[in-house]
Amino acid sequence: MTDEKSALFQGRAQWLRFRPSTGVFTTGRSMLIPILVGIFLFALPIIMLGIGAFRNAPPGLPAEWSFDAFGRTFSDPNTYKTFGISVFIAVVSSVLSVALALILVFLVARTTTPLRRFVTPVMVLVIALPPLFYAMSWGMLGNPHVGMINTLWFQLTGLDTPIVNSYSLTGLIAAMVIKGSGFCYMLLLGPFRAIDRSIEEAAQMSGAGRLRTIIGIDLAVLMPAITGVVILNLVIGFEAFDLPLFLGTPANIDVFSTQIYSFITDVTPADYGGASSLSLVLVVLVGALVWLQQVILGRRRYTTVSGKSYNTTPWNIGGWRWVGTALIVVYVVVGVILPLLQLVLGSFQPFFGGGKYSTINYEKLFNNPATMQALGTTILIAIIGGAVAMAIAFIAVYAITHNETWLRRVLDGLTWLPFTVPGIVLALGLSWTYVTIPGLRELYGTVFLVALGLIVAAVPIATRALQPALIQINRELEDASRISGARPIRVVMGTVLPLVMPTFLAGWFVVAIVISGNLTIPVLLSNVKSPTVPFLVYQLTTMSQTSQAAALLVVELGILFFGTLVLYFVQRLVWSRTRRRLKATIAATTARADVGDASEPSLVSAVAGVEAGMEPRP
Amino acid sequence: MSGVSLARLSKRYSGAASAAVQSLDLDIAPGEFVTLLGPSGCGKTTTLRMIAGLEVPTGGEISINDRLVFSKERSVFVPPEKRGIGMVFQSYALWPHMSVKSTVGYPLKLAKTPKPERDRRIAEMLDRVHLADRADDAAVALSGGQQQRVALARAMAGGSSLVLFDEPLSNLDVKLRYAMRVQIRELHDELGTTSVYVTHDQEEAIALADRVVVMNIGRIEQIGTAQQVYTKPINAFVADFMGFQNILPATVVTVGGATATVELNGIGARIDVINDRMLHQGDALLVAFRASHVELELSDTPAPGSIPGFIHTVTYLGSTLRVLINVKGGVIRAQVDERDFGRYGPDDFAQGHPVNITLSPGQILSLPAPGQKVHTEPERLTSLVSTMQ
Ligand SMILES: Nc1ncnc2c1ncn2[C@@H]1O[C@H](COP(=O)(O)OP(=O)(O)OP(=O)(O)O)[C@@H](O)[C@H]1O
Ligand SMILES: [Mg+2]
Repeated sequence: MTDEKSALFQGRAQWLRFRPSTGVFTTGRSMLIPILVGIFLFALPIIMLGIGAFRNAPPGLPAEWSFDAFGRTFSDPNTYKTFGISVFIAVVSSVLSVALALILVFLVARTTTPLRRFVTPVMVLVIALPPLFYAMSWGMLGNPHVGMINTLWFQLTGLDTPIVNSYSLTGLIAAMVIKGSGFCYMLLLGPFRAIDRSIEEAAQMSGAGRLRTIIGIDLAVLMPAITGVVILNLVIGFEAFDLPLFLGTPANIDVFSTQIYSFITDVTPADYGGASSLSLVLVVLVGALVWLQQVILGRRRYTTVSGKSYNTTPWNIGGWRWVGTALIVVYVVVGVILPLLQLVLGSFQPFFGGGKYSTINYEKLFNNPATMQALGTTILIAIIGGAVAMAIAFIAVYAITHNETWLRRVLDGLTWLPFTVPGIVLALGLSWTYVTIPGLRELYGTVFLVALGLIVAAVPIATRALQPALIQINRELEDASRISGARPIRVVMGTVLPLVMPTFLAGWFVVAIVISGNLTIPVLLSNVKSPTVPFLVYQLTTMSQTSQAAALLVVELGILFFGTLVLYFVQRLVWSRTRRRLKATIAATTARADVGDASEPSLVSAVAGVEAGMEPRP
Repeated sequence: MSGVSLARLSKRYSGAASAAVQSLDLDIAPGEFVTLLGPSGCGKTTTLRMIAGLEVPTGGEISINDRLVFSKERSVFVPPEKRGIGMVFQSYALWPHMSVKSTVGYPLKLAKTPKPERDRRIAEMLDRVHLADRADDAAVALSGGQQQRVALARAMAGGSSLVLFDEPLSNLDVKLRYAMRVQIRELHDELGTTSVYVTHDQEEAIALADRVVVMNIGRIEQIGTAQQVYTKPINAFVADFMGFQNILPATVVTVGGATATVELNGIGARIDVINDRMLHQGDALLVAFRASHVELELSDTPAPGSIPGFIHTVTYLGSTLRVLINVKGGVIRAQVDERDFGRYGPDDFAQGHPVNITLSPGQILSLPAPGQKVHTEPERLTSLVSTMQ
């Protein structure tokens, strides 16, 4: 046998070697299926996109390799204009969001400003409301002719020049700042609260004033965290689709994501090559940013804060606190109350901006079987797709945490891929993939593909929700189960799953909300025959049936709100019962007084935690 | 017939530089109580988990009750749930979503024991661990000691003939530990199980076990009854671990029948040891003796057969005094018991006070010198020797 052959033989022998498994997914071999599925779901769309950028025909048609699309993209001055505007919007809105969030975090965590307790719940709401909601309601609110703000302005002053215009660079950035500050707030509140107070006290003992301490010490200490949040916001800014589509496109402001979309929908035949090559640029840009954030957070995150936090008395900032209150009031009004009010009022107008208030839009909705079907489809996709995404995430996280080979890192990377890829790019990649694969091609345009796409897009959120809970489970609990006679599958179903169930349900709920508000995926994957609510809302808006669209969105949000309420009370009920039992036993033993509240998962904190914690990988 | 038999058992974790367990051979009789004793990281837990089937060995064989459950050569691996064993974990490992009753009954439920029989066994086990009145409480809501008793009941409820313990008492306070120790041994005797018990506490190991296995860096240093390892360690590592505070290098000067005279290197003093290792003149060896076996005489005139020295430091430990004595070329640790406190005045242990040290041959062990015994970790001994000089 030659050397080469014997090496090969040994390699084969290694693979076939006696390697018993100590549990589900512990061996390398058992990772094969999860990794293959992961590649199909998460890597293939991006690979196909990359291939598509170098082909000279739309997906599914015979094509040749070419640099045409790239050449066209990079010789087109429009590309550079889009690039410039995208960067400008992302940078400005990111910096402003973080600045606004920092001020609010400071008011909430350190001062006696009245109304500060409202900020966190409002922020949860801002995060939970889909981008589509803000796109829609801000478009209406700041409409230069018939929007609520301008109408009021006209009436108050008698002038006829609008004071705000949502369909402008300023309008777009303002809306992005309002939505984006929610994330920033949630991400910064924790680190800010966890600052070791003794370093502040040390600064004060050295003679620094309070303001000086805050600027010189707190901000400096938080700098890595802040930088990380700024970069995360840049990523979100580049990936934003709904807001630029609703507010930017009408004003001829094109960013990467909307430009990619228009390559496909606004030109005939659709320019898939152009869209793909632009997508690749965006993927590289976002990838670089995510990498940068990893480097910054990975290196310095834990050195910034000690983890100990002391409750010192909050700072009385004197007259300034009324300024703080005013800021909070303005934020709440502009960020939540006005948009909601405008959307609801608008939905009762026969046409947006005029007519007598009536329920005509709702009647039309409920009498239109197609709309009702879309509503049903969307809710079904949200619920089932949410469950599937959570199941995928559960399997993936379990495999990642239990596998003992390097393959677990491969799977980990795969599940994070869709997060690094902007929604519209993912949608494009998915359509390349599904159109190219026989069998799936037939499904193109049906709800199944839309659902699949939405699930793929939602998996990173689901993963993020489950990971901490799964990591926390002491491995000996599983071992004890094994020793008691449970087979590996039984260990997972009988021990692990019940323990993460509260988190699983909360995550499912959050994922369902995210799916039901997603516009980017259906915009490319669904068609008129298989619309989801967000897609229909967008279509109605482009056909100038704004109030009809508003009514549809109100109905969907109403259902979500109602669902949340029901879940909340069910959860209260269930938990108060378990808690009573726990309390009784605790009272009997007087041993561990801390069991009662510590483990109560709440939906609100789940929403905040999951969505705010959307930074890639801990 | 054997309860557990390990042959050439080895484990190297993937990516680890050295093996966690290296070619372990051990036979445990049915009904025997064996403790695995050794310092942190010596591979006790790894060994136990391999017996349980929770870790796959990289080599060797394991049989439980004469049934082969693992063999590298013959590609046999019986998964943990099919080995029919019970295990008590350091963290108790109680499932937060289960009551005491269902926790203890879980192995029975999985074994498809009929409900009436199951309930009877649960009641019996809970009775044995005195938790009958807490049957319906959440297991995690109990106190630490109670939780460990639930874990104990669960491990034994299934009627396993082999029960494994991984430092089950290390999270409990001292008083509770004594009580639990007694209970564990009682249950072992009453139910006639074979027990393998991991601990790093020598006192616990000795109090519980029929046989003690002393481990060090993945190997067995000594196997013997509790009394054997306590009084007759076979090398410096075991002696040190068993509380021989003085381990000094020496050289044989003369050999005379049952005893040999050795000279302590550096110190120069000559002492007699029992010659049970066929020593020859000029042989290098280590002598080991406990601090409590050192006779102290406060005197500034050297007496024949004793080693002169000066008091260096004294540490008061309640029932004893630890005395560190400077002798020419080294230090010797001595100990004064509470009942002897009266023999000494308040100034007698002042620093620099001259003393004479006497040792009796029956209490001195002669041990192989470093390098003569493969099982002894070299660096550890070098540091040992350097602190002695
Ligand atoms: N899962 C693992 N992966 C890699 N190395 C491990 C793993 N578990 C243990 N080791 C290593 O194997 C060696 C033996 O560990 P083991 O847990 O068996 O020690 P131990 O005797 O139980 O110690 P302790 O008294 O601290 O519990 C140690 O060096 C440890 O670092
Ligand atoms: Mg251990």
